[in-house]
Amino acid sequence: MSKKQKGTETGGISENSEVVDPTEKKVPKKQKKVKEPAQKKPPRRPPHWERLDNTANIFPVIAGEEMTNTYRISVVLNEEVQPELLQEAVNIVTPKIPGFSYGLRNGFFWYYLEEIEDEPPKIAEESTYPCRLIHWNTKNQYMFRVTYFGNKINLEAFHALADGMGGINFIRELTYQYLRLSHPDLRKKLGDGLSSETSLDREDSFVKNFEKRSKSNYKLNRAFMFRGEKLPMKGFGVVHGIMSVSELKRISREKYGISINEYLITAFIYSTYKSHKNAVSKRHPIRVAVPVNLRPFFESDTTKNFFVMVSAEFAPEKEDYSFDEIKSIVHKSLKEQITKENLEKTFSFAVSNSNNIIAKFVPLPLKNGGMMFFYNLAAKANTTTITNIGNIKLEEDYKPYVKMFYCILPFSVGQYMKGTITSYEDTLVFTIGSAYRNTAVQEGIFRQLSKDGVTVKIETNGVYYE
Amino acid sequence: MSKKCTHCNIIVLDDTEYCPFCHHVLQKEENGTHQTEVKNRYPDIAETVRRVSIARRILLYLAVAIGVICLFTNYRTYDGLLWSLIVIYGLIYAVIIVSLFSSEKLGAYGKVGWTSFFALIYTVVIDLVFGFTRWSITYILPSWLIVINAILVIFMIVDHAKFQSYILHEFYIVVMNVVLFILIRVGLLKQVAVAEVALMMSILIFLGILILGGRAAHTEIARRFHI
Repeated sequence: MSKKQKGTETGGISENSEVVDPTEKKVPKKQKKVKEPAQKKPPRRPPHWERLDNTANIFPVIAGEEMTNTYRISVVLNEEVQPELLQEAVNIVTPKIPGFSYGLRNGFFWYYLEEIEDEPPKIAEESTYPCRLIHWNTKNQYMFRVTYFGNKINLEAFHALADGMGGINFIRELTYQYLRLSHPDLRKKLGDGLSSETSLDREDSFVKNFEKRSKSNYKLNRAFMFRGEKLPMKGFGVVHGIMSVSELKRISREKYGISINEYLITAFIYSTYKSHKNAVSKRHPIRVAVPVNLRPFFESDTTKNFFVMVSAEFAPEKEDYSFDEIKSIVHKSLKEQITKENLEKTFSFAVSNSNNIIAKFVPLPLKNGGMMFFYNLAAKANTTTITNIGNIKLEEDYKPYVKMFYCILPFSVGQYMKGTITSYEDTLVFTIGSAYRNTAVQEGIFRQLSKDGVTVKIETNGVYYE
Repeated sequence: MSKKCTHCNIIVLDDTEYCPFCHHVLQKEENGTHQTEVKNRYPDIAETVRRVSIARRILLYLAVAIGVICLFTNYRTYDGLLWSLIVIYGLIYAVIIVSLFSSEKLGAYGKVGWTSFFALIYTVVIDLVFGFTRWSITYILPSWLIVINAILVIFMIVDHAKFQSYILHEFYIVVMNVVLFILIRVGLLKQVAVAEVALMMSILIFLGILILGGRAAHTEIARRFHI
């Protein structure tokens, strides 16, 4: 019987149709494909681009294997990291956070940022020292990397992209997204959107707030420089001193009358002074560069760089100094410099220089040479850098899954030992990154804190046991 | 069980028996108030770094040894020709190529461009060894400019969606050709047809990117030349 035969439900023959066999399986008629009108592809738009902020201009010039300008922010979870979920989190978050999906390109006069249309970067297990160079000079190269080891996630970002605040913005969202993927109940409850704490602002706050025709207040005379045997094979030693914020607050405020930041900087200076007494002098003082976040002073929420350096200086004028005496010197030094007026003068000088008509029209290769020259002049004006990226706040729902955060700074010319202060909830981590084999300074710092009554737990990256 | 250094008065969380600072043996506290967290949060990379470093040093030593042997042989058998310089530069060139192609710093065109530039230097070295009759800078230099232009065109064809992004590379090639043309005009270099062809080619390609690239090319220029 022909498939074409139709009939009544009982299989009979209708007047105008063919016979239908009711036992024959009904083969669904092949649906004719209705040709949808061809969808016009949206016209290909050129990738977005933006200028670098004032501070960022120097980083591509000076960055190299020895001085990478790549900082690390790590989050330690209470569970082992699942790599496939972490990659998925990176894929979801990267396009949402402005700036992080940009690559660095050469212009004729200046570097600039351009949107990358490639997939987000691939994550990898941590397999090398922290803060290694990110090679940004190729097309579609992201200026950050995400690695993991055990229950730790690392974000390493090239400083031209964002400062610590910008980096925290990203790693916080990445952590949230990762936890939502690894805990579906969280995702169901909270959804996949960005947090309300996350800023998407890409304003160049330096240009917005600078004051024209400002003089330099940078110190250029050479500071005391650490020397000594370095770790083999360009090693990077990391020591994390893990402490309680409340304990530190109590001791720094009640015992010394200073902030936690000033207390830890004083501990660093005191330890350096004690272990290098013969080398530290008024002519070569210990000068600690302290980055100051300008956002609270100028009501900015930018994710680009917006900080300046001030220096806490200790220039001995007598034979011996106590911890208390150094504390007073540091407190006075920082208090005088961290005022809105002084901070504005500091960055205004740098912005005025870059707005100079001659500087603007010099081709980039020549400008790079000039910037490198002036950078090297100023680089040895500081013994070290100690940055406090502040207390990282997370939303309540995510807190049970996160143990702590810490941050590591890369080395720079003359500064092969640097410190970072990161806190989360009641845990503060004072991290010292060092290229030197000798640990006298780190030992002195943590012994002093312990002597003052702080409970100190130490975690290292193992290089000091070889 | 927690581990404490009684000299430094600190708790050590690393999986170790001694203090990282003073190297005294740590005291294990049975009923410590501090919860032990013996978990290394960093990979052990010393061995990998050591192996890579040794391999690099072996290769470097071999290159230096060959160079020294050649130099010494040339000195002993010297007949007016410093052929060892050609060998030494060849070894240097091999090291440069390995560094360039293993580097993440440069893109594909950059690697090819710099490889060909150092090959150009090689011809100059050979020219110098054989009496510097200037054939390297008279003929090879403009030919090199033609070759890198041709390579750039190939890259633009392969990456045709964003061919205008090569405009700055082409601009630099035009500048090099103009400098070469000026040197010829002032008599420092011999005038040859190949140099004129190189200049014409670079100008035509640059104009081609500008005109054929349309608005995308103009946007690219705005970015590349922003002040």
